[in-house]
Amino acid sequence: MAEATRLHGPRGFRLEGVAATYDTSGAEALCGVSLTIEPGEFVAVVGPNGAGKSTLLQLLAGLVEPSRGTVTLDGVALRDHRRRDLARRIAWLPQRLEPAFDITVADLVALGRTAHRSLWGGDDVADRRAIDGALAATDTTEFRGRLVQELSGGERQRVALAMSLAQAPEVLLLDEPTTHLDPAHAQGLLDVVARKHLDEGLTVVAVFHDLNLAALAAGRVVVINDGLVVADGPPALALAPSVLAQTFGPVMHTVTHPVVGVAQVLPARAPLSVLPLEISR
Amino acid sequence: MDRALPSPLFPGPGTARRHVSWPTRPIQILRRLGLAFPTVSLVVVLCTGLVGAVVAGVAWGAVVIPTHVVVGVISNHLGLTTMAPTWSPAQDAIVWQVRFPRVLGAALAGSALATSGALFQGLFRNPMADPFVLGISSGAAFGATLALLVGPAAGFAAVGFLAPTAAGVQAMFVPAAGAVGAVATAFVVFRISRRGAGFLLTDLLLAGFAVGSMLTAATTAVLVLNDQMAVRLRLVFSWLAGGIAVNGWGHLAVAAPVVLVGLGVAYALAHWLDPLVLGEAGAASVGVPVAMTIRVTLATGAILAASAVTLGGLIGFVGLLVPHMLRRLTGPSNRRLLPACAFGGGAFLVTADLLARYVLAPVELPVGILTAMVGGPAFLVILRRARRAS
Repeated sequence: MAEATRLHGPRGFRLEGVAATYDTSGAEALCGVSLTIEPGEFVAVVGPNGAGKSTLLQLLAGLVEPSRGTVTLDGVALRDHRRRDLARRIAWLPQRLEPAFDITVADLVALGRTAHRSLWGGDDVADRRAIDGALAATDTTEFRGRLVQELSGGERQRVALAMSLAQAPEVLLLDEPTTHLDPAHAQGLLDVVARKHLDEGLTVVAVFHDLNLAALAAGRVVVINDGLVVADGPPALALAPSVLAQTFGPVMHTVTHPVVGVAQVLPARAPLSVLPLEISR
Repeated sequence: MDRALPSPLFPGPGTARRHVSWPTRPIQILRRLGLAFPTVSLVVVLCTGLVGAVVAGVAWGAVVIPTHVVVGVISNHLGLTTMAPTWSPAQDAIVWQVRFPRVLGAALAGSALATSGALFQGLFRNPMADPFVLGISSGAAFGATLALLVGPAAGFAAVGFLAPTAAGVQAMFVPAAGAVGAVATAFVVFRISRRGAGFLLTDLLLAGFAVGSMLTAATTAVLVLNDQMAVRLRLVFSWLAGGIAVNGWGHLAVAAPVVLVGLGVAYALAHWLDPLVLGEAGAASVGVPVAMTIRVTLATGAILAASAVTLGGLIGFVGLLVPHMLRRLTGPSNRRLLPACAFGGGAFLVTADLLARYVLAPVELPVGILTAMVGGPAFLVILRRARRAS
């Protein structure tokens, strides 16, 4: 990696001793996070509620200013990039997209093209192609004329992803993209992201609530607790029993997925039972 | 059924129940029938409505003037035709000197109010936002009233460099003071009602109410306490109550260019205003310079509202009603909504002004009273919906 840095200059995100505060209270959401994210990585960020996961994502999107430390993209501080240039490279998808007015799917997805369009011009061929491509990739073409507000949760999340893909980003930042979805829809959504990641080298940083989904989807898992990175590595390492015990308390049991062979976690005991849950076979 | 996506990681998604919905909103029904208006045809329809309303507005009055005379006089004066006049010089004077400027004033005020309302609704992400409800019109009225009080002598020092002649200064001073009052009020209401990166409906309405009430009280105080103003009280009051105060071309000289430029700036802003439907963070993430967009939008909306106030006093609810009705046809895209508001707002206020002159003829009701009577109940209906949605 040092070799690559010397040859091509630093690429990707670099966080050095980054702290950030919540807007309202001034309490620190993150305190001293150092992290490097290379182009083409699929990174899952996990941790307990209020650990600072969403804040980390917003820092990477340039939506939150660090109160200490620096966030750089390709060696340049994020705040020195123009907003428009950032938007052409980084797409950020909030946990739940709630448009303030009734809006059609086509109009919503077109918003992803904002940074690519001029102030006066309308959609050009590239815009239309990107919008069509994003709708096709997320299998939402048939929703085009429908209102976002009347879609089901799973459909709505796919449409939101289509908007981010229409942005034609190099980096996709997903904030708990599957939290409100049932397992089938959650997998369907992650399929679309994984395809973009594998086929086109899209860098993905995704916050997950579900540790198992995080381990299945990403090659690298970053565990955050109390505003600090407590583990960073492949799922087997990041979800090791010692890490989980330290982060979530002694409530988890690590196993290996019987089909995929990736580390997965189970609750360590049944509710209200004192005895650890027996794992047969 | 959802089509199964080929997956490197997971088997295909399960079968999801296909969600069938019946069209309930006007735009959906139109779209199902293949009658959805593309923006261009909607604007053409509204533009035709505006022209029709203007002709009717000029034709009707204490003396009714035939439509063909109205069209003839106006097109002759505009140099479109050189017809031999079949009308009397008196008719010519009534149409060209008195009624046409007044009706154009109403059209400009309506365009400005509707566009201003659409801008504030986009900015505050709230269908209840409107320059009148937010107290911004009151800010403009207070500024303009203060300017009337201190008179052009003081104004010369302030804006003299903009217009060298004394008459020019007089014409510009009152609108400029109104604009300053409106812009200041807009920023104050924005600051007060902002919570985190969003706005609560109640905060917005209460902030607008409180600020607007204070400014209205201050305006009334100025009118009552000052001898000079007290003499002209009836005139000033009927202007403040929302009567179109244009009775010649001179009144349009300042307001018309300001409104037209404002409409242009508003249209340019549409590109940055549209993504705000996602919230401020969402808009920033797709490339909108949010802080700048907020400032420019507040200023543009306030200046448009102030222009409407100098033309016709405190005309309420136009900025609320017109964008609300038109958004149901255009969707929230400001690219489509703003041009529709520019024409639709004009047509609406010209028609309302005509009605206001008609209902109690020969007494002229200030149009603001009429819009308040229609707009008040509509406001409550929209409020109910907005509260249900949030």
